[in-house]
Amino acid sequence: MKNRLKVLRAERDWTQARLADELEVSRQTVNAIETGKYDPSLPLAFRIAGLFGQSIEEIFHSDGER
Amino acid sequence: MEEAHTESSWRSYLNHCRSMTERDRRNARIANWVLAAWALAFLSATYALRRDLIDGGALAVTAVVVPTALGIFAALAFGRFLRQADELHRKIQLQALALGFGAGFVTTFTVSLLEAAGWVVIDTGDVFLVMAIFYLFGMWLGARRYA
Repeated sequence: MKNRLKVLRAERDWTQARLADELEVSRQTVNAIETGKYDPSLPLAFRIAGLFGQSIEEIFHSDGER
Repeated sequence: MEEAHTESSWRSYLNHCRSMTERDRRNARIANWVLAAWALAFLSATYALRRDLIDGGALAVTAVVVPTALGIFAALAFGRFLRQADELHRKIQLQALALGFGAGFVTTFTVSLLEAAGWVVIDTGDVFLVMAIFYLFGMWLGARRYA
């Protein structure tokens, strides 16, 4: 699964640590999601979407999609 | 910038430990302290019972009950750590536990076959050592995979 987390974070000029604090997860989790090594759970995906004010589909999409 | 980490080896494992949330660190600290207390109580009780420093009665009961109670507390503390852990840390922990359990399972039955054949005689404690080694290996592997 691909995502726009890194782009959204960069737009706000946040570090991974800052985003991790906002989401109440570890920095390693944020890094693993951004690099596509780990797909977040649905509750965490909802928290990410809520934090950036977008829908889950606008942030996450399957590898086959653009 | 700290982004796009691709460290390997022990550095990724150390970073994995350092990147724990404050809540995970607190829960892990509690679990580790209780585990250390259990180990100390277990070793002390084993030493005292085997050396006949305790000759039955209430002291012997205490020597059995205290490590058992601490063991239960350690298991509960670890369970709490797992339940409240950051989801990636929980995934890494569960994969490491599965690896440790699998290694212990295979070792136990392989050893029973080897013992039946009369080739080796292994102490039960050695199986737990195998489980611990594979658990730690699993932690290292997980930390490296998601670094």
